[in-house]
Amino acid sequence: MEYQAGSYDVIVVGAGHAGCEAALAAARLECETLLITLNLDSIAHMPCNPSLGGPAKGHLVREIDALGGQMGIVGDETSLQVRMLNTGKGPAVHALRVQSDKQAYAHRMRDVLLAHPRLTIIQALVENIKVEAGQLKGVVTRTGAYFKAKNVVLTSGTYLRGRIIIGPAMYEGGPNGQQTAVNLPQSLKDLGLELGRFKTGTPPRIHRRSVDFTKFKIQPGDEIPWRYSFMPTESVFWGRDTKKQVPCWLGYTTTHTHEIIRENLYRAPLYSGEIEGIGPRYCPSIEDKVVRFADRPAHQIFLEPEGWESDEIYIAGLSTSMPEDVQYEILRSIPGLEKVKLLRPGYAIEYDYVKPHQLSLSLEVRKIPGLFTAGQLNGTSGYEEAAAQGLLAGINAALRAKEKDPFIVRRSEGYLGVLVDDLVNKGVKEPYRLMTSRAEYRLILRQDNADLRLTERGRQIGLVNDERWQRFTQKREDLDKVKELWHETVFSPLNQEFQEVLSSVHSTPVKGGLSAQELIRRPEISVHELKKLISGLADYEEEVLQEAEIETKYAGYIDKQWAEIERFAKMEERLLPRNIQYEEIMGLSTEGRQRLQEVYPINLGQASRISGVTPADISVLMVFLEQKRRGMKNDAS
Amino acid sequence: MDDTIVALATALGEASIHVIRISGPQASKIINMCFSPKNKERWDRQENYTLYLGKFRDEDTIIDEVLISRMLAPSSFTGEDVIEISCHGGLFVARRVLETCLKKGARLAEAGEFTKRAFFNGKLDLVQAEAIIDLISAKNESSADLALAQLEGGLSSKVIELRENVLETLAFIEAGIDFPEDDVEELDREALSLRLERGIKLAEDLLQGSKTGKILHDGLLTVIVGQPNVGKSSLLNALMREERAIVTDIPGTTRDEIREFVNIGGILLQLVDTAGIRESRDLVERMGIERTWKAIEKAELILLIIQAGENLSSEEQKIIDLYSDRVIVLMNKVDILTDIPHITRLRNEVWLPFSVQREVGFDRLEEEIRKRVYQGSSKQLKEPLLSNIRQISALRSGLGSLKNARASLEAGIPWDILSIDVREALADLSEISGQNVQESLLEEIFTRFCIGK
Repeated sequence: MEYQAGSYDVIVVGAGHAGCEAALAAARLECETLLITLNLDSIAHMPCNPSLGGPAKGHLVREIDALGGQMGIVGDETSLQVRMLNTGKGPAVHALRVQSDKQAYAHRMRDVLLAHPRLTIIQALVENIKVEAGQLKGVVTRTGAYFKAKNVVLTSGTYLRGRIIIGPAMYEGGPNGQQTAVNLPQSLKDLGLELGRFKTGTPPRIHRRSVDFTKFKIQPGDEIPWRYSFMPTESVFWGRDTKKQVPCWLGYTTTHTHEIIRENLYRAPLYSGEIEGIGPRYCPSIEDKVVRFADRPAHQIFLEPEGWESDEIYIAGLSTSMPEDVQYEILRSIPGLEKVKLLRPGYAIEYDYVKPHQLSLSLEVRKIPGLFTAGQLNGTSGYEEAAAQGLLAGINAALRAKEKDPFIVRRSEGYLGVLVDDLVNKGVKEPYRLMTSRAEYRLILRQDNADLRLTERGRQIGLVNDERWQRFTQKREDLDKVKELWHETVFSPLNQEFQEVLSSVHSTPVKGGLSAQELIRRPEISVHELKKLISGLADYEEEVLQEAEIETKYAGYIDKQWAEIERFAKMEERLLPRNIQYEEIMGLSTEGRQRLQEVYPINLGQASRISGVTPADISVLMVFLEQKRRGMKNDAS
Repeated sequence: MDDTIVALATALGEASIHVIRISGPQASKIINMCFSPKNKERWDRQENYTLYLGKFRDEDTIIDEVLISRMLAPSSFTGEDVIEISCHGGLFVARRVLETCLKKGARLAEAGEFTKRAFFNGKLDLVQAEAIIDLISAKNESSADLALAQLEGGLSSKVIELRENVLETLAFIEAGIDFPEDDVEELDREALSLRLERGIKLAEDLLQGSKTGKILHDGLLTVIVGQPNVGKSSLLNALMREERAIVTDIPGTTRDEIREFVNIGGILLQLVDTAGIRESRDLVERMGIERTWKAIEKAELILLIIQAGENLSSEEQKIIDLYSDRVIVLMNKVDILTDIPHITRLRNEVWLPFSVQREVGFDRLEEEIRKRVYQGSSKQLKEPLLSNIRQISALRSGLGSLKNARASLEAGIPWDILSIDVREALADLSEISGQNVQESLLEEIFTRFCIGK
């Protein structure tokens, strides 16, 4: 029997990385919020790598932070090691990667959630999304609790009909020994949602003391204490003393490893047809790598510590669903792991996901107003992708509760926009991972300027608190001042010190005057040189100077991308009516019509990005819109 | 803000008049560079909605006498400055006019782009709207596989090789950027430079081998040869008669031959008039025959006219022996024979029953010429042909992007910026082959590199 268990503005189902951001965003936007989790002890759990970031993913974490989300702050506070990747490949693709203490991350995130006065957390299994006469009413748990809400964010991750596979052993279950949601998928299907099935996997975890580290190459953290957050965070473990960071270790599989795998392929569920879900190409299991790249003598693996004090070690690169005995053999064939002690075997997991073309760009299920979905449930992979969607869905659920317009991030504003736009318009054929190469305006979507792109928008929504706003506006003012200073400062060719600095970096001497602005456009000149010449620069934060350098040095290229964005902006402004009947529009291609009906784009720009919609279809839509506009005029007159 | 676009406004086929439409802020500037109006004073007054007669030229070469209508913003179809050029003389001239506009800075319009501009400027004429939709939907039906269909034959392998090169290059760059911690083989600057050079070389070769398929641009160098009075002049006249049309004459290209341009089935023949070939003691005639042999040697297509039913002369035999890969033998006056002669092919030459008088065989001749050009069997066409102006324009733009990437590389520009040009090149080439950029790129990265945690 059901019982009335209370009424909320927003309910969030699931407390993984998406759910945490969604619940916090809704609560911070002054909504009475309920967060329902399968297990209170598994909030913000990292079932895979004990790390955050990398290209595009690190960018996302900074965007989450810029908007007032939580992942960046907790990530910084619980970091074991930081590394800035891609530093030699240009500012747009610099990417921060942070090793995290898995337990500490989960605990701190849970503490933040528990501390919020408008956020209620309860452990329960949601079995039913209640919809009456097309109206979303709330959710019902297995124990009969009926929680009412007009806005529900579903972030149930890989728990929908989850199935764990380790060789011949297969059982219902979510990651890490959790129970799985069996009835919820049926409830979603009953509501008319189309589900798909994906697969992903994870490597074995081993005991630190069973590893001979002398056979591995050490990989220390950077000397600069990088952080995600634009707020002044630091690691609870190493503070700002980068020497105290925990290292990772690099090793390789051997031809012997590969022999073992080949010999046992007949026992691999991946090749025996046991796995129906589609796995990601960018995250193949070791058996898959050995089969597909047969001529490779070795595959790289990383030993990543799971915590500051934990003895558990994660083996990146060795994801597998081979039988447990084979996993032992594989591990022992790796130099340094001869005496390995397995703590948890690797496994594959299959799960249902919601096909994301059914969503609007605010992550609301179009068929069921008020129901939002986010995270792995939408067919993505990765903590960062999940958290970013959770934040967006949480914001939009809250905005809807307040009867405000949805919050949508454009592709030109952030990776968050690229992510959601891709999901909705292109759909997913494998678990979706964000990559910088998916962004057409990569030069603008840098990790250093995430705040300049998004903090103002976060403030408008009400998610950016005063402290963050103050820091941000200060940074923005300083940035303008620095740029102005560079513009005004002109070096005379007679200036001895100036010529010396030039020759110190083998820069061509100048005959006429040269402004600091022109000077820093030279590839060999950096802020470092300018600091020697302009004493006033010492007053500014390094972050501001770096920002000014990038914006000045690459201004030509950046402006070009802005021009392109503006060229396409017109398309985004042409809205498509909500009640548009595509079957009545003559001249659309068959596939284009079908895809338009599936996705229901909000404007011409979005329509043009839907896979299967041709430029000719867009022209047809334009003509249609113009006809409609004239028609309306005629009606009015 | 917006760039200036140009396209053929009339249907792509043979017609006596073609219209090229150019729209955008640079329209007048571009036309000023290639149009010499008869009445310059009036042209300079920039009168709106006026027709101007004048010569359209590509630098010093006069392409055609054209009529130009000028409709200035905002009172035009698109709401921008629009200039329409009406030219005669078939597709060849239209192509040259279009190409000249492109050379002077216009961009080839995408499908429906004029409509799009009209739409954004609130200019769409509703009466036209229906017609436009009809046009577009017809295109929707037929164009899906067009891009690939045009790539049949030798062309596809060349373009595909080039695109593969660029795709691989981009995959190396992007895999390095997106998977820095994976065991991805990274390109150093030298290796990248080599790859770009290779791409540039391939693109240049293709463009050279094409130059609007060079043939469509300059014409297929064709000689009509045969014994005196066998009907060479009649054939020439027949080809040049009527709407088959003289396209233009370009005097001075050779010193003592007059070259005529004839459009056969959309393919331009550059016809060289030759003296008859036969044994002769006459010094003047022998010099003429000498020239004829030289012309035959240079020719890409030889139309050998013989008298049907008669034995081959030694000269005729020699032509077939030496140049069988480019000879079409026209058995003239086939109409006066009672029996159709039995044809024994000597080598690779093609034999056609023909009658200039009765107009027998013209269709087959046209078909044969088309076949040779598009299947690449004529001498010049050993290199594949890019026939479509859009493909050429895309290839040219791809080449430009590759060169930009090379320049960036030399200037020490970082990879995130450099990759933009390589990606643009890939987008251009993908337009030719009709493939999706993003999907191919991911596919290439995941097939080529072993990526994964």
